[in-house]
Amino acid sequence: MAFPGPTFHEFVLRCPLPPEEINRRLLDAEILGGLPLGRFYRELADGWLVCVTESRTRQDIDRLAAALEEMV
Amino acid sequence: MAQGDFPLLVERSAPGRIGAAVPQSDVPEVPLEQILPPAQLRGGPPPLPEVSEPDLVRHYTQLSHRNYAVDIGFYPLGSCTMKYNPKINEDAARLPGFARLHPYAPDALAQGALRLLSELETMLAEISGMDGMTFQPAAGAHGELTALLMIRAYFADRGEARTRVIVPDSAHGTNPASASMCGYGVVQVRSDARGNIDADALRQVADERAAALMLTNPNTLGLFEERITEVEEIMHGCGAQIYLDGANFNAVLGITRPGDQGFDVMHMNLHKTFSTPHGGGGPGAGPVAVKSHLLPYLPVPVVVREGERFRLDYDRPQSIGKIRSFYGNFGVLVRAYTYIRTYGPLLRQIAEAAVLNANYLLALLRPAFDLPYDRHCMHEFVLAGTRQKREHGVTTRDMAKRLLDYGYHAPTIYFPLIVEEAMMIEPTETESRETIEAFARGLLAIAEECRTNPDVVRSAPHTTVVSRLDEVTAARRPDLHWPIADY
Repeated sequence: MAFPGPTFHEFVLRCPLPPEEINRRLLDAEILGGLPLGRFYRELADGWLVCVTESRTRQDIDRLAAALEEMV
Repeated sequence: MAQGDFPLLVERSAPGRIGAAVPQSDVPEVPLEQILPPAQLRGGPPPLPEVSEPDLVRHYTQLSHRNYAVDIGFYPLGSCTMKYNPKINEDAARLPGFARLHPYAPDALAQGALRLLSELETMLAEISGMDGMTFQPAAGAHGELTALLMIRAYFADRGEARTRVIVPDSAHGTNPASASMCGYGVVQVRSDARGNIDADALRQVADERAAALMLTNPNTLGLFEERITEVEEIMHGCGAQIYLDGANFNAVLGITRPGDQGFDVMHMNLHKTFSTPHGGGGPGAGPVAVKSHLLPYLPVPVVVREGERFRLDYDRPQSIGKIRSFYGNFGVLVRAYTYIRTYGPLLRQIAEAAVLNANYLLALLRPAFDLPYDRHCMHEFVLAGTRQKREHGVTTRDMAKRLLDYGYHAPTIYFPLIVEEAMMIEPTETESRETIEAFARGLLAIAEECRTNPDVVRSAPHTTVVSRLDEVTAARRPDLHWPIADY
């Protein structure tokens, strides 16, 4: 987690891989990944803003987590 | 039009009534107290109205029946180009590939949307005679500011400290406002006896201090600038840029191109000329088109075509940056694209019919009203209610209010500022001969009422839900909330 405060509907992760690369790999699994924050904040080049919304099921979220686990 | 009162949402509210039930989440729930500190938690639910879906729909539909729209009737609001918007534009904007696309979707998954932006840029560049554009500005005035920021960056790069923007006295009020917001001083130039910008007066103030001239052509009197070539020579002769306020582009669509007239930069109001809906201040679209020397300053991102693929380019070091989130009001751009593709080579007929309609309506009305600048008009014309005021004590405002009783939206009034008791009328190309003649009969009847029964005009409107409002208080101190204590 990039920041210690409580989160509401979305949160920022710092990633060991470039967020753009993570998104590229997730696309192969037909998952649209989080938002790479480097374009908006230079100091957050490894920042990845994740928002699953209320429209995703537990199964969707678990699949995202598994894909990330495999990657890192 | 719906008459009488109907209950507000808070008055329809009943405890426990809901419009839709949210399904149970299959993610295990945890108490909010466990994940959020007490300071960030509400003491209880917000006091919102509790209504069913039909209650909600009926409330807003009843409200909408109190409104007037181009889908209800004739809307001759000068300078606003209130043409009818074909419904096929709405079909295109609702295609799920456009409507459901996330603005941050990877370029590879947004090729259709990017292609639409690229093709719309190509089409509008061809129509305007310019070299490229940004779609970010959400309105015409936003486009003015964007263009002036680009002009400022252009002169900064050249090491030129230009401090002034020149506007004619017939300009839209947004022109001097945008210049001032951009840090420029404003110099006003008078109009000549034929309603053109006075080229001789312009020559007196066109010097190395001038960054730009902001000109509307046809101007707000509905007249084509007869000395546009001379104006171009004067401004470029002193090294300044020429900006076209494209609010009146509908008059010359497919006939003449601003780029060929020497304009360096312009905005287009897609919600006027290119038939996208006018919102209450939005969503509009005021793309800014530029000649090649200003291309480096366009806001980021721009759409780049590489063979058959498209991508968003953010790597543009001379760009003025972003001036709006994402890429502008994309759904509006889809509508404009659809409109242009629907008409294709017939776009020119739009302008021809708009000009013909305006001149026909002018011919029908001129016996009853003063016409300060007596020329063939373009897409709109400006009458003066001076005769009615002088002879019968009835103002243009009174006549505009009386038009509401006849079932029409009023024209623009008291603008441009250089015409006393101004009434600015723009019928657009989408109105039939019968509609134009019926409107003319109505306005001529009102002119007759000014003579025979002026009180009925002075006290109008008589048939609307509310009559005359305190417009200043309504604009400056609108009361838009329902006090919680009353709920």
